Amino acid sequence: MKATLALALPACLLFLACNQPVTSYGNAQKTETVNADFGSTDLQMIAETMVTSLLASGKLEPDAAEPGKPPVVAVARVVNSTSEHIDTKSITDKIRTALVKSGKVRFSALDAQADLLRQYRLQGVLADDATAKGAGKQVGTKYILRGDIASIVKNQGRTKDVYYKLTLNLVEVETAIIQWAEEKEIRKESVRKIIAF
Amino acid sequence: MLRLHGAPAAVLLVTLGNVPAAAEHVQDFDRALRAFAPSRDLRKAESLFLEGARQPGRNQLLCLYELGSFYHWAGDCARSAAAFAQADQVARTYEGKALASVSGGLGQVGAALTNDKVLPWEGAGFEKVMSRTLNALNYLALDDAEGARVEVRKAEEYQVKEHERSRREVEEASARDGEQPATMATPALASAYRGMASFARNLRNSYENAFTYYLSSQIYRAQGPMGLNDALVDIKRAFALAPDVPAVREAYQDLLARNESVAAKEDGSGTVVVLYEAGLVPRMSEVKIDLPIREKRKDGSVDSYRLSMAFPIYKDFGQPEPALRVRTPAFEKRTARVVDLRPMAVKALEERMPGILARSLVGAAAKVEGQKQAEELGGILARLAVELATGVVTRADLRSWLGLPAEIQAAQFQAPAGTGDVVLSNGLWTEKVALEVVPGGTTFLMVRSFPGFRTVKAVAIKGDA
Repeated sequence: MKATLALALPACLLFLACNQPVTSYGNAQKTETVNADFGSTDLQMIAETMVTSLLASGKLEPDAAEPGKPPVVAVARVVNSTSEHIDTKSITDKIRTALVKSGKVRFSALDAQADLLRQYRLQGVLADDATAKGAGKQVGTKYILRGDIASIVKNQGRTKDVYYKLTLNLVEVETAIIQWAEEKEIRKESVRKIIAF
Repeated sequence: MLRLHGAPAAVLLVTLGNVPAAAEHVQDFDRALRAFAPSRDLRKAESLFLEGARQPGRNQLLCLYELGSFYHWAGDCARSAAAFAQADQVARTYEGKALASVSGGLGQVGAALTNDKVLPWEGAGFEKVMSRTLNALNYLALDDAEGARVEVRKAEEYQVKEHERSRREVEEASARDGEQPATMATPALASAYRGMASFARNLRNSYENAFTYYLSSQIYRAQGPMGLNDALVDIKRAFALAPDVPAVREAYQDLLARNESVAAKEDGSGTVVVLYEAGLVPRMSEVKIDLPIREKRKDGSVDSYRLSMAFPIYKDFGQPEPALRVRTPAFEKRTARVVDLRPMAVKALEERMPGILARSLVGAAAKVEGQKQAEELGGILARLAVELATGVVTRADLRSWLGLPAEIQAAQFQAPAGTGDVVLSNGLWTEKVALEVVPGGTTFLMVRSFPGFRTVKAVAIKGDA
């Protein structure tokens, strides 16, 4: 009996250990093809295409009021016209980070306006006059980035074909002229297996 | 007829390995509903469905749908959306499985020898379309118009997929030279299912849903000028399915006018769209039908006998839900039914009957063979043991999504911008609701009601949201 228990306990522990999930770090840049849904590799491909194209376009001109300084851009929004819940903010965040790192663009925090207004009100009441930050000193945005991501999904027999298209435009605020536009197309196909075990 | 050797051992093994969970789904749902309706207490529903929802298993998708419904009723739209999103993943896993799998094949054998309850519940097409439709309402309630648009696009994809499946089945049936559907193959079945056939006779199929198109159209319309074209496409589809519904007709006429006019007249009013989820879908019951079985003996003679088999059936279709009266100081409107999910559920069961009947016939043959061989091997007691085991487990699979509304009604009207009260009543209850109307925008007034419960939520969507 004792010999049986002596063998049973480590065997149970081994069994439990073998049933725990195994976690390890993966390569964030590795191509991901888990399924045909929008994924991390698609996000990286889109950002790279957009950033390379925008920086090479020569359309990012400094504001006449601030010569020699990179122009100020605000990210408006990317509309999701697909049938997946895609985090379009991830797309624009990735593009914005790469552009900021290039040193050729400054970004205005358009999405922080509510927080900034709150700060102006609070500081106007609570902060020392010498250090209080108030409204009226924001640097005007010269360009806004806005776009749309759409998809077309086709199912035929065992095959599912998904086509994504992201379109991004750089619009000059003062003139409303689209100074730059780029699109990135991605097609993914997944095929159901015939036999599985 | 198929002869299965070693049938008694196989039947007993499969029986012991696959006896369904003791609690029936219908009883679980009723217990959860009794605890929820008076006080919106979700604890019972969570205790009954949460574990099944978390673990891959035969009822995972069903548990997720029911949880999604309970959270939806409770107004916890974030958790409802999460449950429906996970349900979507599970449904897509089932759809993406290989055309033939060893494990799936074994499951079908198990189902043939016991009953369909051993198979994972995969949901009918109309249920999957409704999960996305209800999730669109969740996103509207969360003031996330973009999320709502994603869900109606998913719903549309699914209707297209179901249309393709239906078209393939019709082609295959035609290729079989006018073979009669299994439900009409024997007089006993035809007689038992006559009521169902009559109730669903006006439906072309089980999945086309006028409300999904109507809702989609309204959601696109709420987007503003950018969404008008999509809104018009979808309202045309809704109109093709439900031309007599005033809300659909009015929405269609309004969108035609807006598309034709270059500059829409802005009179400072907004649109109010009333969406009323009424009642609960009917539930299946079990019917025992004696079917004739013919078996060829070794000497070439034919053994004919009758075997009692259990099938799912809809007997009680429920009653039409009363319209909702919507009264403002200026006028009164009544909602009208845009979709009736009762005949859709009946039609979906009709469409499944060939598969159910085929598995039942295989199971019947195995059962008879098993009983005979058991008696040869172990005498009358062994035969009785097999008969008892297979009798216990040869029950109909009555699983369906019980948290769906019986029907969805709609009405729409223009109202001056600002905040005002509307009075809602359906003859059983009355409630006053404060409504915000934005100029040029759309206010969705979402009402859910079934016996002992109601909830109302209003969300105003500005254009270009």
